[in-house]
Amino acid sequence: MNVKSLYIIKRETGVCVYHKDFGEKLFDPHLLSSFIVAITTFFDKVTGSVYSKARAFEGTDYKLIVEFGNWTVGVLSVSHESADDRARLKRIIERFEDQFNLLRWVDMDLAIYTRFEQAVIDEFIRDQIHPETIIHVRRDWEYYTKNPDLISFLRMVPLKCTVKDAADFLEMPVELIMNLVAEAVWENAVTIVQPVRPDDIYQATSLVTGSVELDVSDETAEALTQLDGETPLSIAAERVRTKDLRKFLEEIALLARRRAIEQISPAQSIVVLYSFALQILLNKCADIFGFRIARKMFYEAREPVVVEHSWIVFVSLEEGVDVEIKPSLTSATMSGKIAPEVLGDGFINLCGEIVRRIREIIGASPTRRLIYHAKDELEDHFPTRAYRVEWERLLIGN
Amino acid sequence: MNSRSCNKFFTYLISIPAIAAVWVIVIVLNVPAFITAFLTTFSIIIPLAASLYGMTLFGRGGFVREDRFQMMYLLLTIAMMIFAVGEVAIIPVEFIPNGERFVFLVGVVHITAFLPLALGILRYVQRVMKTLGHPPKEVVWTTIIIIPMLITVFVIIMTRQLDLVESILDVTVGLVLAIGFGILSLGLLVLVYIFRRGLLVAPISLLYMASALFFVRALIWIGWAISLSNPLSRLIAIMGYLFLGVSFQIANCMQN
Repeated sequence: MNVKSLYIIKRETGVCVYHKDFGEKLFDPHLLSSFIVAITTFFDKVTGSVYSKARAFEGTDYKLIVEFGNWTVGVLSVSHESADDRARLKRIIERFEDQFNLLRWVDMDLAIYTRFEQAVIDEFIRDQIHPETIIHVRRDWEYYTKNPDLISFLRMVPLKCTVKDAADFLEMPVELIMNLVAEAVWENAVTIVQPVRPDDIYQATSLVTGSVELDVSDETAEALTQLDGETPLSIAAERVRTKDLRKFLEEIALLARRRAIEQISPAQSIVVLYSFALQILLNKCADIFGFRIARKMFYEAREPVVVEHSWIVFVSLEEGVDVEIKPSLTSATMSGKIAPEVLGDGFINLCGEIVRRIREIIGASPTRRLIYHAKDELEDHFPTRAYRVEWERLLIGN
Repeated sequence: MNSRSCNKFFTYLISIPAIAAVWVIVIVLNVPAFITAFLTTFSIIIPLAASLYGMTLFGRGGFVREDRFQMMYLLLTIAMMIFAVGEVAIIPVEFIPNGERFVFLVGVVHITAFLPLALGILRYVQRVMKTLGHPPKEVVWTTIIIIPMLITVFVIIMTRQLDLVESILDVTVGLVLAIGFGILSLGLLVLVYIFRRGLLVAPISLLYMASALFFVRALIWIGWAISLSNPLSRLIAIMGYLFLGVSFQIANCMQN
């Protein structure tokens, strides 16, 4: 897991009111809270700022992300910073302040650790677990948990398997197993690893220097040049004519562990996915009624969407009907300034407007067929992510 | 003017009165010489003007091979130009003694015009069917090539055996044109059915009507010996050219 520890500190007193280590213990929470409050207060005084501006503190192999609430400050220790982790931290602080607002005025025992456990599991663990997630059961797991459900679960599953395999093996619903795994992760009885999937999108970091130092095959080293934050691994593998996709994905996972490459943010991922879907749709339109009508239709369809989503003006067309995402939008998604949900909503509205115009030009029945084929094509390239595009919304009225 | 109003304007205000005018003039002025001169002039001017007009509309971006829609119209304009040459070729046929024997040469020019026309339309039909998930199989293309060849050979042999028509060349050329335009009409009819509820049906159905008229023209040539220089045949051709020209205009309106 990228997230190592969570600390919630009361700003006024500098006392750590809640902390959780997701792996090995990294810092003493009380020492860390004193340090954070001291250093942020120092900077606020020096700069004369009313609002605290400290954002992160960096070590050699960790980074402390800082987010300020009304009366608390949240600190997240991570391997590397991502906009998604910062958003989670912000959400958890808001939730903590809402739930334990009384602590702002008085110090008393509110059974925080017991009552806040589920919130932290939901925010930091549960959504990390998918049917394909690989579970590694710790050899000494008995020392970590006393939960009888977990004990019987961990006794039966193999030391290394996927969540889906465990569900099939135990003949239990996958959702139930995912909840059990989340609790096991919480109690440090298991660790989880996300498998590299063919439709994952990675981008090379500045640590890439060459195949010799990276210790990967020439094919994978060549594929690194294709990992531009827009190309799914399956397409990168196709471009370098990889013979063994499984080995290729294993090497990609190795490179990710060495931080030679990193997965793009969820917001970026949504932009790539939807721009791909948009491209497929426009290509099909151009096949039927030509580039000029398709271009005209795109710009007409964009106008009403801009009213609600001003950022959509940064989605335009290059030559022909090639979709272009302007650097402004790309950088906004990288820095987490636009939430994935907002991006998804804007793109689906744009696609909806386009589909409405296609229906006018070619009629409802061929439009429906066109959407189904676009959906199939997207699923070929993004088998595990294509469902995020809400095709059903496009089919309404067809 | 938006594309919808543009379509209506050119469909109702230009094409229908223009076609009606041709019929009215021909019927009212029942003077053979005048009719011949009238038909000769219009059968040359209309395809030529439509071709030049189409060139200016669709030739702006040059040949964009990936844009099958524009490519189809560009090839149609080239075909129209060759059709105009074919119509010009009818003039010497009319004036020289026993000129009817050389009508097949006009037909050969029309076959030359048919090639870019067929290439543009069939490739467009193929791309549309593929995009909508019904790519024509290899067997369809094989059938399209082999069956017409077999029919042509069969009819030529039968004609020879039964001594039905004087010129075997006329039958051969007419048959090639009839089968060719028949296949094109079928392909376009499929598109008209697919796009029947959309704006795109307007230009495509005009293409279909033009192709169907050219098919009828070739059919009456081989079936009823009404050759390409006959006034009725030329009148049908003029209507076909008009339909093509209006289709150019509507397609351009949709693009702009």
